[in-house]
Amino acid sequence: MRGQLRGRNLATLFGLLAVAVAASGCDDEPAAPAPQAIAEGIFATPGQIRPSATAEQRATFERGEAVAIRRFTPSEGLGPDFNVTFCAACHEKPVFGGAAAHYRNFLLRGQTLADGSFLFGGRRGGVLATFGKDAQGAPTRPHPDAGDDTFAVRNPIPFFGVGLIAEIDEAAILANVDPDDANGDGIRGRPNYDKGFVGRFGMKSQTVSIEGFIRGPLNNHLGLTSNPLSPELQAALPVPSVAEVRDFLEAAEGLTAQTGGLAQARFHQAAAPAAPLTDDDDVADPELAEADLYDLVSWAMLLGAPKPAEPTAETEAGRAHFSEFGCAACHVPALSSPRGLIPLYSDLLLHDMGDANADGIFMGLAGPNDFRTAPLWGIGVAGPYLHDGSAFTLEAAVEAHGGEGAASRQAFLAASDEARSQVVAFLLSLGGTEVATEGLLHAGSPPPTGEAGAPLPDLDDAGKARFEAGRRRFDRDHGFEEGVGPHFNGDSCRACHFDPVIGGSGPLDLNVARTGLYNAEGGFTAPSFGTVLPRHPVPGVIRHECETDAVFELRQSLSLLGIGVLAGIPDESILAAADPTDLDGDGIAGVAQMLPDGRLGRFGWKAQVVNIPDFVGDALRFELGLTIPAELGITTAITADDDAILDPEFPAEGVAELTFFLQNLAPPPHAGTPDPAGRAIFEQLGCAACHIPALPGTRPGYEPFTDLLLHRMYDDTHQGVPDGVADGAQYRTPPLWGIRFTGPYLHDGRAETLSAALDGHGGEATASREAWQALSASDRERLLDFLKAI
Amino acid sequence: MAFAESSGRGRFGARWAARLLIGLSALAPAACDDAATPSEEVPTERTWTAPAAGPDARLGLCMSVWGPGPDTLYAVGGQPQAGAAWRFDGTAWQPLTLPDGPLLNWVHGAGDVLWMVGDGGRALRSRDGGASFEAVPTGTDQPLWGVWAANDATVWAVGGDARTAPDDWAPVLLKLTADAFETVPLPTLDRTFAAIYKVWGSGPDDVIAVGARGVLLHYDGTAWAQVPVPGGLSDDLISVWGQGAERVVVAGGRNNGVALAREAGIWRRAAADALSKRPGLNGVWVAPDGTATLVGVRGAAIRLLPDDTLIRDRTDTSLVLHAVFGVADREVAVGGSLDSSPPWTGLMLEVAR
Repeated sequence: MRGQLRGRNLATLFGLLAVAVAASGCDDEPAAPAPQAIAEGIFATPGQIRPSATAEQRATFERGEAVAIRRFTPSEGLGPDFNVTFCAACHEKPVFGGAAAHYRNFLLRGQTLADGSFLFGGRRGGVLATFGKDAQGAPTRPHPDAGDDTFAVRNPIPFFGVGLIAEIDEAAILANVDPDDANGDGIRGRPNYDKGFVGRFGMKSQTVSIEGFIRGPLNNHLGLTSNPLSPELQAALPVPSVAEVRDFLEAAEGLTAQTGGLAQARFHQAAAPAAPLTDDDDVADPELAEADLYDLVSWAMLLGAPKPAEPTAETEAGRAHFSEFGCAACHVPALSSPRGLIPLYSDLLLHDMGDANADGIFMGLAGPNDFRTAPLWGIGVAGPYLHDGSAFTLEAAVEAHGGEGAASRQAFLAASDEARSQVVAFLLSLGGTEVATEGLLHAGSPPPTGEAGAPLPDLDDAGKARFEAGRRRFDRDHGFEEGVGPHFNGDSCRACHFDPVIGGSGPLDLNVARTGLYNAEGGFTAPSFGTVLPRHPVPGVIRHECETDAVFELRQSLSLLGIGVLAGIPDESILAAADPTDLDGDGIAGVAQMLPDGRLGRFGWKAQVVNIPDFVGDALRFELGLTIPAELGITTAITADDDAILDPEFPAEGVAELTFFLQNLAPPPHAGTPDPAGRAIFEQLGCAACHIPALPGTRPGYEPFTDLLLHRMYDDTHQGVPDGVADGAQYRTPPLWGIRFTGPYLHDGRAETLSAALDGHGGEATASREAWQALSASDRERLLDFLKAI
Repeated sequence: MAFAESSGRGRFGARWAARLLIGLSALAPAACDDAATPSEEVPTERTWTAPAAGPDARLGLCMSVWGPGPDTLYAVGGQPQAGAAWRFDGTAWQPLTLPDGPLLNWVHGAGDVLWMVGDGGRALRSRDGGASFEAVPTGTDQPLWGVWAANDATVWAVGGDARTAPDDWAPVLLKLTADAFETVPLPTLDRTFAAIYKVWGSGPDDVIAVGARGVLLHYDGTAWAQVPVPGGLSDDLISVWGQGAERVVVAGGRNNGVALAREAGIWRRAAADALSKRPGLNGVWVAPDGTATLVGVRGAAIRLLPDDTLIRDRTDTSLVLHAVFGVADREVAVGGSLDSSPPWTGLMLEVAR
């Protein structure tokens, strides 16, 4: 690593810097001193710790990453309003610490008054949550405030190298300030401020401290409260963060010699503490332990900067065009820090990006048109691009530049195809491409064998290749220009099915919302857009909201492992198990979901989907907003929609690949040998009356533990959204294989543990629940162990 | 080193910045007219220091300070569930004996009557210089953030809780009527907001109240009305003080400073550009010459001259300064570890005038 940028790469960097200086037009500049060198020990493969870290920092880094990927539950403080259940949900691509696809977008909202005042809605920095609780504690979708008239989509930003950005000298940022365009280059960089310091983080450079930039989102997006780190822990952070000197200016001068110049950085990070955060759920504040917060902040601070690629003739030509087009005026190649130059390709200043990009949001000195220059290191793996993720490719991002970036955009558009291609190659060379992925699957990560996520064992080599192609299709993120939206829950199939592997289930933050209105007579009316209440709109589209007095129901993303085996169960076997009027008097009244066209449904919480092609068509329609070719004849899909993208938006081959992948996605394997004693208890309690181990005709060797029929699972007050013959209180028996992977449990994830799930059974399962609750502690453990093993 | 900036072109750390800019000139197309312009002559800087016999910091925050003269000052604060108050007798700050109750947020008085308000809708009155207190009913359990007394009969108190959800926001405006405070309806506003933070007046018919989300209210002796802020403003306005009716200054902002000034009845943003680069402000006091002392987060203490020149004082602290008050020979600023978890540590600083 040491000296990696020496030689040609470093020389070309400073060649570009020299161009930038020449462009400044100052005629009284003193002779420039020898330029600083690129800081050493800062680059790493994205997601890895920077090489200069100490052994102790490496241990902290590992603990911090564990906190980042930890799924928080309501009993741990998640909520009451939240968007995601874990930090890495929004920072997962291409690896933890990165950004995220459209399905992790979120909304900021506020109100613009006649006098120009902008008021953020709500009390969490304007973030409009997707999941919340109503006054009675029931799940709901939080509404915007009555006056909210401004909604802005945000796409997460990567954390790579943020600790290095935190150390950049404030003066180095201010050196590029030119609000009145004194040098006439059309670029008017302006700083934003946070507690008296120059802002450097956030889409509008509104934040200066990493601790603050973590505590805020933890509260805004997870509903997790925290206290500021103690001065002692701040002092131990990888980026010095102690507020120990009385005066910023004097201290910076006085301490430079003693600290190697980190005095200024101390102050930036010392701006972090704000008031302890509290909320009104039942979990004591602070909900995040101070040690966990310390590890999390440290992890972010230690993430290495994406390592640039070795230059090639193509990338060097692109670098030259990048400078020639004026891109480097804002995307300044490097800024000074105590470690040396930090090659982030950003001036960290605000620039007018044009009316077309305006988001209506004010933050500090930033207005609706103003955005921080995005750092370009690792940009090749940080898509989608722009503040709202509206640009799916680097070319689209460049072409979307307006305002101060318009001239550079025009130069890019006017350039030859080769020159544009070279610019893109240069941008891709700025690091991270070794972990590039179209979704979350990385190159060289074939499907597992014999584990969850593996194909069925009898696939030949051609079948395995097709399975792998389907798996990649399943994982691939899609862009708005490919047709995602105008409303959507996910931008890939994997978006809702990745736990614990591609094709699995989804966490609580990916629950699908259903809604509709019951009238006084019990009649149900679906909203005009259907019962699915999508989580996301594309930029410029207003999110669908749940009507007042409407029923709101969350449904967990079901695991798809083994869905092909379920598809193979004969209709007759399912119908034979049905007993809609409980003729046998066992208290169990399984109802078959017969569709109006006479077909039998079996997939989904209401068994509303007949087969795998229908499942694919239904998901592409309701979850992604993608149209498919009409000739496929899949009635659950749509073949046209009202966005501007040419239909069909998703190819027939893609549908076939997805179908093949799902058809051949093996059921989850057992975890050890299920204890026969536990199985005996399972049967003794009557669980198997609905969770039938294997219906006749099930592929030999597999036990799904479901009858694929509808049952009443809750008491009479439960009112969900009906579907077909399933009324609002009936749910299909979910398969139990691999249930150890699929918590939380029950249709809406209300049960955090298997034990809670059993306690949550009612309706037809009341007798079984009571029997479970009457078990001895040891028998309960045996039953739980059995369930975890199957 | 004096540090000053005007409201127009800021002088951001001229000497130091200039030195670094020289060193970094190779980095980017810097503006040529950067922050290195020499400033006009500015008054000598001031350094705030802790008084020799200040309040016991362990008793908690000092949220407010006020007094009728140099030898009689009062400060209030405490911990969340244990309000505290102190009296300066010309020599030292001594704790006062209070009825049990939560944190006290503000102190003011008129004539022989001393008022203190705090969390839980708490209002205390003393008619004997703090030797004894009586609780005055307020009819609210919302935190009260400010109190201002024009005389024995005209007393306003304000409050509200910004920690609640917007649906539960209930800003509080109270007026003393006989021996209890009564709620005064708010005027029609162009926005919802959580709390009124402070109230101050030049007299019974010129009262100003400020609050969350840029709310500025005025009472003319008859009715309250919202005052539009030129250009609009959504930052929290946290404190207000004045020197008669001629110059009134409002301080606010949470992350970045905001100030408003009223002169000859006209409100305007004061030093908007320069203050937006400064930490958020909590307290303000206006000297007879019209100079406003502003204090805020991270130990910020800034003087705002009538021509909008800013002079930054030294405070030697990164704790939060919440309020400031001046008497003939000195100014006193108070605060503490307000941005940390309780138990809080208090802070008092003073500077000669």
